Formats: sequence, C-alpha cells, structure tokens
Amino acid sequence: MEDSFIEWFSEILESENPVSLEDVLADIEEWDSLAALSLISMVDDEYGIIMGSKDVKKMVIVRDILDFIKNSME
Amino acid sequence: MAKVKFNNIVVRGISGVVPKNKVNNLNAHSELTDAEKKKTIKLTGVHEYRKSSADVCASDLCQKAAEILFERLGISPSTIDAILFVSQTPDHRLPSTACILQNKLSCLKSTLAFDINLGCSGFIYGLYTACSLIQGGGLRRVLLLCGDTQTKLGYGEDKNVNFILGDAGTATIIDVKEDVPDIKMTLMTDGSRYDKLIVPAGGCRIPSTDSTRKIEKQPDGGFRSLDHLCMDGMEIFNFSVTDVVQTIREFMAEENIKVEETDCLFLHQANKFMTDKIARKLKFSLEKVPYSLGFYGNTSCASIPLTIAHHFSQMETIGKKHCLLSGFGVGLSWGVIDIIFDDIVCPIIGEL
Repeated sequence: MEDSFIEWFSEILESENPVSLEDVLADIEEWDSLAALSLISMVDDEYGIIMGSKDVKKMVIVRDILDFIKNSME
Repeated sequence: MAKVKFNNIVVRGISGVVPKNKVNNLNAHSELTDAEKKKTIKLTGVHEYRKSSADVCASDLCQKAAEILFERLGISPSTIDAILFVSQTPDHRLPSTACILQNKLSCLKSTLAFDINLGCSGFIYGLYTACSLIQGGGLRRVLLLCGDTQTKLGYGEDKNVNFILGDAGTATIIDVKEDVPDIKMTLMTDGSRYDKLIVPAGGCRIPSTDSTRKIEKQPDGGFRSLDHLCMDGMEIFNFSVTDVVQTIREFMAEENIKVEETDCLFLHQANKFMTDKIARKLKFSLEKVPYSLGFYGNTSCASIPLTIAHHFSQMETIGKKHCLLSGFGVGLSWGVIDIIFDDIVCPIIGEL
C-alpha cells in the first residue's frame, strides 16, 4: 500500500523529484491548495474516504496522509 | 426534503449576456509563474472569463439579456406578470433591484417584482419560485433574471476565487402552457456551513468599517479583507462531491430517471475538476455534460442558464431535450430539477 500511495501521490503533485514518506508537506513546492483538492478527490476515488479540510490542515509530513487513510479504513 | 412537481408550465427561452472585457488567465496574474497558471487552468478548466467595468452591474447584463429574449420570442414587456431578480450583487442595499428593472424594462406597474439573494443554487430556486407563482399564484408569465458581477467581490490577488469567477447576466421566460411534461424539483439547505463561502463584512452583523476593509493575512493563510469573498475550497469540494451527488442520486432513484434516458446534465459551473467528478460519480458520460466555464468561468447563479443558452444556441434544431439541472454552493444551498425542454429558444450569448 505504501508503494502505490507514494506513486499516486507523486502523480498528484506532478513533482519531478521523488517524494518520500518523511517529507514535510509545507516544504514540497508543488503542495498547494489545488494539490490538496486532488488529494481529497483521489482518496475518495481509491478508498471511498472523505477527508475534511481540518484533517488536511493537521497533516505535517507525507506519512500523515497515509496514516489517516489506514486509520479511516480500520 | 422539499420535493415538488409542477404541471402546465413551460420554459420558453433563455438568453445570456456577458461583459465585453475578457480576462485571459494565462496573460493575467503577474504574481504567478506560467507553470502555476497552466496547472490551475488545467484543473479548473477556466481559460478566460468576463469582467465588468465599474459602471456595469449584474442588473445591466440581465436587462440586456431580457431585451434580447423579448425580441427573439416576439413578446411585449407588458405581458410580464412577475420579475424575479436572483443575485448577490444588487445595485443598492435597497430597494430590490427587481423594482428598478420593472421600470427599465418598461413592464407594467401591475408587475410583481422582488429579489432573491442566492448564488450557485439561484437558478434552481428562481425557477421554483417562478413555477410557484404560476401554479399557485395564478400568474401567466414570469421573467426570471439571474446574474452576478462577482469579480467585484473578490480580492484581486486571491487566486482561490480570482482565477475562476466571472460576470454574467441571464433572462428566462416561464409561461403557462397546457399538456406539457411535468417539471420536478428537489431543494435543500444546510446553514450550518454558512461560513464556507462568505463575504463576512458589509451587512448588519459585521458592518463595513476601516478595519474590515484592511487587507491582511486571514486565519486560513489567504490575504484579503473581511469585505472580500472568502471560500474554503476543500469544504466546498467535499460538499459538492458528497452531499450534492447524494441528493441527485436519490432524486433520480425516486423519480425513476435513468442516465441513458437523459440528454444533458447541466451543472453549476463551479470548476471543471469538481463538475467532472460529480458527473463521473453519477455515471454521466462527459458528452452529456455541457460546459461554459472555459469561456466564462464560474458565473454564480447565471452559470446554469448561461450554459444552457451557450449550448443550445449552437444547435440548428433543438427539439425535445430531457435535462437534469443542479445548482449548489453558497448557503449552503442546493437543488435539482428534472425538465424536458421542447424547442426552447436560446439566442447567441450577447455582450455589453
């Protein structure tokens, strides 16, 4: 799951640099409000989970997104 | 859930008018890089939009749209029983702009006229009110005007709204006619999320003062004043792809409307990312979902009638078209209409 997550999250960002789970979101140049919308949409498509804007604002590193998905699926 | 059915009512024609002045997103916004602009255009679908000059109000755009429609339908202003003006950008705090339009359009003094303060759902609520005035209120002909000049509400450097919002005015004529298919609707409201799309100051709750007019960093990180339009994009997105989709789905199930039996799904032109997703979730192929936002952006309450007029004005013969319409947004307020247009008259979009 981690590998596929990293793959589609990189697609959302359209980033030239590889993304790692420990990257700080605020430091990723391509992470902006539009990328956040794409993320919300993708998580809904892939997992049927709705992320609120409050959830997204709490996330600090890339791994927080993955953890949110895992916790929501439990 | 407010659910209603109207009979013996027909939508005769819809027209739209936009300001002449085009803003091309790739050429504007010097604060953004070309790559940022291209990415935003790709996602929102808004290549350009129209921006009114300081002396043009939503009512002026609607007035011209009404005059075009009167001429095309060959009807006299004296036959209008009611004028409904749907807008969040009226001419004045008071009176109702609809009253001013009664005079400007040379309608009779026996005309009923009032404003409806709604945005993205405005055409749905406007059509509901028009049908109610005819079916329950005994009127024979209603002029529904939906228009906004939202470019006057946003802060110039707020990409959140300044990239997608455009100005437009529309006119729709609704008539009594026997033996036509029913018009079905459902209307919804959730005021608990009223602050997700809001101009906080300028009303009586927070009057406009020097301090509310100050441009500063707001809690969400954006720069604007309290007198400017503020949107929580993520919450509006979630609302649209969950609540709105659910309402349309339930409505279609209860009214037994099959995707394959419909010709068009006209969605409020929020942004392409959102409307594509709504269409996909409802299993509509994108050929059935007409767009106008590439040319005109998100035009608030005008977006559905503008898209209908834009779409049908390009066809030589229209005939019967089974359509679903859905408006959703500020309020939060949303609704769905099931309607069959029969040779509806839609002139080419005009300019002012």
